[in-house]
Amino acid sequence: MRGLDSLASGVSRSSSDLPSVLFASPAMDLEPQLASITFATNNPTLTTITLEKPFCMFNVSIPKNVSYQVNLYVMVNSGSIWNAAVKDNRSFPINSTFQETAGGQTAPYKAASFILPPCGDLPNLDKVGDMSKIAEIMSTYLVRVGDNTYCLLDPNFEGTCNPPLVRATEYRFKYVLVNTSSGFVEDQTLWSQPIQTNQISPYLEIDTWPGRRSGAMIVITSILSSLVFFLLLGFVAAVIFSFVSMGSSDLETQHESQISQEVVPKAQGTLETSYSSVNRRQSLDQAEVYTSKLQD
Amino acid sequence: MAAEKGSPAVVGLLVFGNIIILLSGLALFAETVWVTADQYRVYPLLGVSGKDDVFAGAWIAIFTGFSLFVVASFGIGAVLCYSRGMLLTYLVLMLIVYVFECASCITSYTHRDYMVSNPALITKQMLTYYNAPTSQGRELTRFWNRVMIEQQCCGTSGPLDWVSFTSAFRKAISEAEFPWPPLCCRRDANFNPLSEEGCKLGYQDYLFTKGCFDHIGHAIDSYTWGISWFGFAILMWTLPVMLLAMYYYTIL
Repeated sequence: MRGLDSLASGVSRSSSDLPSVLFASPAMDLEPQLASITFATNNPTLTTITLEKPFCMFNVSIPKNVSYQVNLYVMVNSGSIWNAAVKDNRSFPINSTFQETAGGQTAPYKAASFILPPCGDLPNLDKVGDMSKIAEIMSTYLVRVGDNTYCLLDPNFEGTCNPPLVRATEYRFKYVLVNTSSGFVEDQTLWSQPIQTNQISPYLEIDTWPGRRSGAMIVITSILSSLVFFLLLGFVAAVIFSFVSMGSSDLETQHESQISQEVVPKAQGTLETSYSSVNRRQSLDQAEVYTSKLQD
Repeated sequence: MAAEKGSPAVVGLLVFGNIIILLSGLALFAETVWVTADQYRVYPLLGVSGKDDVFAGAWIAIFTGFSLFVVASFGIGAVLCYSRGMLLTYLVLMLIVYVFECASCITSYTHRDYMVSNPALITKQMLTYYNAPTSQGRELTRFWNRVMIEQQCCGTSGPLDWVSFTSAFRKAISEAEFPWPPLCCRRDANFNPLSEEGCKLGYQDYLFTKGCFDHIGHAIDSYTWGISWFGFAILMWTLPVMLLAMYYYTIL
């Protein structure tokens, strides 16, 4: 990994190491890289792919008076990618557009071109935490393919059009170093690994089945259901048992009363005459009892 | 009838058990009032789904909590009066309350599983209703806007929810325009986005990368724990007290 990814992973590395490491291999072995996830959470998107700019990828010792620019070429991943040329036979970079190449399906098209970022101006990732610097860092270090949604619709648009890519399609990218004064291609990277734009799936297909029930739900449901069962069982048993025992105790009290009826008359019999005048206003049933006792 | 009055130990236990039921009934009542007050304000999520059984459980538990308080008080009276009739009434009422409280516990926890055992349902609901021009859509949009700002989160599992799936929001706003709702962008004290471009690109310092599911799951979980597990504990305590009361009824 080269560029920001490697820098991001190696921030702790001392800055003096970086240039020597970065200059070690020529651009012929390098390829454009997807931007670090730190910078772009959503990458690739449906219609865009964000790449890192080619920092120190080209092994050129830049003279002060010559300026370089970098062209970014995009092509749909296909079998013909290895024959795809990005310079003509006079070594000028091609200038085919998105429309001419059917969105990169037939041949590479030029999606962007920018001044070669100076190698000395390495991304200072210590500044990443600094909010005020981040916008600058992003515009300096990232290039977003498919960013311009309007250039295809604008008939007067001039310059390099960078229209949205097609979703769920694999693309390959290549950086080409162009000498701005001579116009010749001086160096180029390899074609990148295929990078696929995002695929969107319909929300209706989300499966909302909760899957396995949680253990707590099973515990609560099963235990409480069986407890209610036992409780009802116990209640029914208690009611039945109390009815049964109530019935038997009723018999006992009846028996007792029969005994007392046998006993009481003997006691009351002697006092009967003396009570009769006193108890004249007794209730009807009591009177009946007394009459029956009298008969006894 | 009350000739045989049962041992004082049984009476003491019953009174003690009922005092505990009475107190915990009151606590359950208070706790479920807290749930229905919906402090986390997640009711729209459940309301829109067409099922609000977590809250239904809470409403049942308000009733049963208060009933437990009243019936247990009555039970203490019944035990101390040595009255078979009162004790039978106590047992019948308590059984009814017990069944309802079981229903509350089970309903609440089952629905919790349905809602938050995985983020799929909440995600689907969010994608279906966020920014939809219906009354449910407006309610849920308000809910999500508030949660995303308050909790500094985006989407259910993260901002990628909005770009991996089609949605009512995506129908209205293309991905190139804004990949996720602008309220996912980190904002300064004046509520201006720190960097709209950075947010669109998804730079981590400009965007809430955390999902809101943790917050929602936590809210619904704490409601359910309150209703179901506390209710469960009360029921576990009530069971032996009622069995003892049944025994007492048979010997009274």
